[in-house]
Amino acid sequence: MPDTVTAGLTASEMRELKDFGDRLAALGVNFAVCDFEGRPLLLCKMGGFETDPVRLAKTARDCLKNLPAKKEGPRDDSSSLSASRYLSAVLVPLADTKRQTGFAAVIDLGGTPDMNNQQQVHILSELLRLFTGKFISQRKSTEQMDMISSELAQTYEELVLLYKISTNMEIVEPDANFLQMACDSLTEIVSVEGIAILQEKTVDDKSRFVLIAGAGVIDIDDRTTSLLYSRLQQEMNKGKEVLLDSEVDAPFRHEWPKNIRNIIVVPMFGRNKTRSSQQAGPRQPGASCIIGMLVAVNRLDKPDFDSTDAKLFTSVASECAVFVENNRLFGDLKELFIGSLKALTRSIDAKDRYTRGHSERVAFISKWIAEQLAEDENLDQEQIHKIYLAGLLHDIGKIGIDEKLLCKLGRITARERNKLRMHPSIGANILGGIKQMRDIIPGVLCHHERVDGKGYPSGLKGDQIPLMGKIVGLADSFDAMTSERVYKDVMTVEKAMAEIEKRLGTQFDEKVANAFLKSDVYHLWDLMEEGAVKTYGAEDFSQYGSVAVGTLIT
Amino acid sequence: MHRKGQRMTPRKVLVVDDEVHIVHVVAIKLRNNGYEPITAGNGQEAYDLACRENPDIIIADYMMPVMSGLELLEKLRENETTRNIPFILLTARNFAIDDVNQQRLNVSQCITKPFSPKELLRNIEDILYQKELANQT
Repeated sequence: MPDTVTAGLTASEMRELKDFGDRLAALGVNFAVCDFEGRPLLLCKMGGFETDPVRLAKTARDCLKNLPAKKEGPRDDSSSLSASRYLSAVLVPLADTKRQTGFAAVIDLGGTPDMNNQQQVHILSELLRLFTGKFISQRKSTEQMDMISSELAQTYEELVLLYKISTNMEIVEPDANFLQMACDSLTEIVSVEGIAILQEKTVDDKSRFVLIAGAGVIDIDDRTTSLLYSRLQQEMNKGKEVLLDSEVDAPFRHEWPKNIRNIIVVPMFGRNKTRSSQQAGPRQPGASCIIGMLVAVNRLDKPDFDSTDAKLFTSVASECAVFVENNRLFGDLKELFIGSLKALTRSIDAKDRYTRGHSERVAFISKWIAEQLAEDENLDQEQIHKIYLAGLLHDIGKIGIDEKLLCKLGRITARERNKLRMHPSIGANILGGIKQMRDIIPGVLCHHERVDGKGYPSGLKGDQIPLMGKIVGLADSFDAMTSERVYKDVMTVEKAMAEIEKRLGTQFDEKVANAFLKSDVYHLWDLMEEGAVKTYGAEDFSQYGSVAVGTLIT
Repeated sequence: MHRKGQRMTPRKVLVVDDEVHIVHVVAIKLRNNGYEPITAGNGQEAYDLACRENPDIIIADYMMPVMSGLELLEKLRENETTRNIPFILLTARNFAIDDVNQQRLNVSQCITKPFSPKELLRNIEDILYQKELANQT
């Protein structure tokens, strides 16, 4: 902190005082400003005479010493005006009960004022009184302005915090990341010992609050969390919005661990559809319940949390709640979607037992091929996901084909062949009705095209065939070759690879097929043999599937 | 924390913005942290003050009537005495200036509104510290 001798008067104030002193020059007097010890901070010697420093100091000290306890206004020597040489007034009575501080403005009239100048003395006295009065009120205004500006600065910080939180909600990330960011940002602008965010999780049909993010020092264990929840609920039932407790105005309302001086708990509201059996009563659709809590303890720069803090915390908590809810809904949506897709593919398997698991394998192989090509063809994660899904759904059109035909043993007529060959277009048609599936359609429609143009349904040639179609087509063929089918025997991996090589440039695109052949196909086979696809189908599959499906929805 | 240590003369910071509340907020933050703020309400006033007072750093708003923050900066860079004063530009979110201009005019930092006063203070400290280091070598 700057040293206190000049703490009372700023540079611009000094300029103003000097200005005043200069103006008084016209009247032939000296003007001085002194501190409580009588030291002159400013001395305008315009009167053409020397001001006695001792007398000056004494006048200043007397002026400040005799300051009435409550009165802050200007004070002058008007009691003995005729005899006085010095007019003085309090310029700044710095708030101090001992009256050891302050500044006085002193006018030295120089010599003994004679009777003729009596009026001049009066006028000067009045002038001084007016000036110091104005000076003091101006100072008060500036002080108020500074206080307001400080508060405003704090409000700016809060604004930036809320702004930061809202803009970060666009990104889809795990709850914990976002909530941690919120905690960290909060601690930057509100000086507290510890902040924590607790999230409700249903474990073994029991509802618990778990610490998911935090900053600073805060002691949260299971017992504390259930305590916080029940006490918060109590406040809610009383109609309050937050739980605040401290020893400041009254003793604690609840018992808290020893190191807690003050505490604030704010609820996060959401619509939690999966509720535990602990929550009794029929569920009202759209009812909000507490999905989390924001807790802060021990405000450092103030003795207690105030209503502004409560408001800020409530805002942050509600943004966090929205984020968490959105994330949950998105997760539910993806689960719903992928579940539906699985149901669809299982329906094909139900019709044609030879192809059970075929769609999942083709999806897996397509993804494999896509990953081999990723660098050359500039495929990003999103596109690989889509190729996977195309593989998964490539035979969806078979649902429109007669079971008897699908499983027919022996020869099929030309008409029957044409019927079978409709499945890519039927599939594309089925998916065409779903907006999110648009990007997948090329893989479904074109997986039976051939680079020599002899494929179906459209007889596309070479690069007319979209990459997705080439990849799924290759995956489909490889799986067919290496599986048992109604119309052929199973091939070994080597034979299949040789067969593919034979058909380079005719059925298969050279670049795509070579990328596949050069890869570690045996490893791929092992993964599938081990049932990686099957286990991939239990949990991992649905996880991967969810991720892939997320691509379609975002 | 106090890299600057105890200072004999507080460093002068020129703050200019046509929005009075911003000027006040920045000024109080500066004053409370040992700086001497000088304020202006428009670019012309700021330019005159800069020439007269030779501040250690200038913080200016971009969008201002009469003379924008950018125009002010151009003038400052043309003038020998003010050419090397570090400059922080405050801009609204959609009005950032491109990197080419930032380099050419030697803008030390662009900060978008709404800004955190604390962070602004940290930036000022950093910039002045860097300048001091550069001057020592």
